Amino acid sequence: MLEPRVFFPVALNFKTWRCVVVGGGDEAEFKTRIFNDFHKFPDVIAESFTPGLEEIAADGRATLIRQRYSPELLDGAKVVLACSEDESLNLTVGEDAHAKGLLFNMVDNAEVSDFIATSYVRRGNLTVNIMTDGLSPAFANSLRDKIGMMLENGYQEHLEFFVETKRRINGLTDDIQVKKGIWRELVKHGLLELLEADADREATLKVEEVIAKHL
Amino acid sequence: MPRGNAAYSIVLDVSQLNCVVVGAGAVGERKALGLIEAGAIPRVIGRKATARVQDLARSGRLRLDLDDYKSEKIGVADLVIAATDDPALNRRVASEAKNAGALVNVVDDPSRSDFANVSQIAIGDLRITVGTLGRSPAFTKALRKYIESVLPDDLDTHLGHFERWRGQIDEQLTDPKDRQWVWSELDRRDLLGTLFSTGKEAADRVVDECLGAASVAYDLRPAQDP
Repeated sequence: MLEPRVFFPVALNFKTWRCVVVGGGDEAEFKTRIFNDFHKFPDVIAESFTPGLEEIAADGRATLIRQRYSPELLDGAKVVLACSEDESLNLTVGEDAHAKGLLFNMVDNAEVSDFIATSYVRRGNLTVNIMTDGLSPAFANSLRDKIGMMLENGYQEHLEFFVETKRRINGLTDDIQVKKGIWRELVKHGLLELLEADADREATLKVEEVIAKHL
Repeated sequence: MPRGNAAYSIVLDVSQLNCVVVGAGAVGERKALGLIEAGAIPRVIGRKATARVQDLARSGRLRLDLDDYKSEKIGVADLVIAATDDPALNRRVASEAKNAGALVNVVDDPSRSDFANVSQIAIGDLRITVGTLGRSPAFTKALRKYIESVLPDDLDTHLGHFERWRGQIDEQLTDPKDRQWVWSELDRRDLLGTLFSTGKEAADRVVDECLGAASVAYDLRPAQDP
């Protein structure tokens, strides 16, 4: 049996990067839509495109590069997804991407991929990812839907509350140990659970109480 | 950070990457441990190292460079974490590492980071990560704890059932289209919900029923919702 692969989970801050999708079929359209979901408008390289991709491009949410793939089309990119229907082309794209030191992912081939995208739930700035090391994508998707339902209510507002609180605490002290102590106590006392229970006033009082105790 | 910006979370294979942590103090130690757990052997640069970092260096889990940071030390790094307690130095590391084409994380500055860390729940083979692109690590941690607390304890066993069902479906159906149909039918009938609320036997029955339905001709099957 294969040694299970371990991975380093990160969230990419790819706002300013050039991201490239190679392929113009359904899979390329699917990946482009995921990029769009993260406010990323990729360059898509293929000789022909699905009507869906044409529509996405017409909305300005992707740029279609209508030509046969060649390695220099990857120049200036940082992330490359190979999802054409031609497996040997996808592998070639991978070799080129690796030679240029780019982050590469190939559809249906985790072996040659530097990274794997997983099932996810997105709520504003927040993303929850679920992966099962390839054991059961169906389980990952079902669990994603369950967690997604849990996160229906106001999670972006909860996050904003935390960000505001962070700003307030950072304005009061530069001492990292004190900040850490405050946060540890707030998390321990269930700040999120208070917000979850719509007890925003209690949450604010709790923040003030803990700050006063530590400063 | 603009509101619309969301964390595009991925999992990275760091085992083949040249990873560098600048800073060998408590924060550097934590960052190095994260990389080690994910299969990397990071290079850790810092004049003063924690006892743990020194231990890890002795056991070969990381390579320790007990020296001040210098520009040429970045070399051919693929991934760099600036984890010193000096914000100005962290910024310098970040800009030099970016020029060298590495992916960069600055512990005290999400806006200069190519990637942010995420908070992870590991239950057996299952990994759930929560990330906010560094906007609020405390929120990330709180949400992770919250999700952990509401998920059933035996989630890994549930995953095991899904694996078993996958084997059963692959064995009984050879056409990928039929398999796909069964999975979407199982999803429509909320297999996981059944497993959560009524348990394994009831869920097994749902799988058997869907497999039974898949054995009849495609156009005679019950219609699925779009």
